[in-house]
Amino acid sequence: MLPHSITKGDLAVLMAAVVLLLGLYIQYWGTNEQARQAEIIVMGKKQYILDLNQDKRIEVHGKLGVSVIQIKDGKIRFLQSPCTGKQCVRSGWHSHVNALDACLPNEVAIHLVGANPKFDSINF
Amino acid sequence: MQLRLKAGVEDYQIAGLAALAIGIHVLEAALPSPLPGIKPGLANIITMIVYVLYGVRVAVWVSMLRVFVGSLIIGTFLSPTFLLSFSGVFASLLVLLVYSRLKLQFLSIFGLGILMALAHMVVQLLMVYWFFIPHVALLALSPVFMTTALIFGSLNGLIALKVIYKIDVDIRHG
Repeated sequence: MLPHSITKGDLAVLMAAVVLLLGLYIQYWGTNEQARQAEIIVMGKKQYILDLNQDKRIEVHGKLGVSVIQIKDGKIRFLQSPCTGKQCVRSGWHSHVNALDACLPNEVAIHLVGANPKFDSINF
Repeated sequence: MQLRLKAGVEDYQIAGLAALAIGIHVLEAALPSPLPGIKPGLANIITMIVYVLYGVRVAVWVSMLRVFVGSLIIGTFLSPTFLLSFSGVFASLLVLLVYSRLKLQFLSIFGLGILMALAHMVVQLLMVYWFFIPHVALLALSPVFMTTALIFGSLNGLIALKVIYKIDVDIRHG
């Protein structure tokens, strides 16, 4: 016959699950590693790899026109883009490893990586 | 020669219970959700109660029928949504099978509900990661998904435990 009330085993499972969850939070949200480099992906191709420690402003020719990307103080953002929504511009500055900012209409994306990138490529 | 299919008592039972689960499944699809993939999973309450009352075979039937018929009604049959729903239920049924085969009596339906919900979510996340969004940003969301799985799994387990207790009392006292 099955137990009719919560057992010690249940509580053990609950505790184990909570501990695993905490581990998951620490693993994925605990570290805020600063990115070192930014990959600029244009129409599916990795076109530039830029160092974030050099302030810079570049113009990228995407599908619709020119997107302006700005690097300042280790952060990067879309300054201008020829899209209508401007989500890429509004999403503001990015500096964490694996952050993504993309202007989908113009097919320009920024992907931030650390000192030694964990992935060779990303498929969508 | 004519092939004749005759519906037995168990068939009617399974059909009736599956109808109940499908009803909950479809109603739940209408609930608003903050993130795709986050939902209470109330239909699993039916699976667990069916398991206790009728055994693991009927529970597997009811769950599988629910996923197939539910997706036909909602209109997601063979879509990515269906694939995720199916793999999640498959994982949670595996947990149920292990539970019943190994006779893990030190766990009640409450613990079972937690394990089933977590297995469901882990497999769904892996499926999304492998097939749809192979980017670490998805894994960064996993704590949120797993937390909701734990919360809803616990709640559903508690509800199933209460319902089974009530049914048991009713049976004993006519």
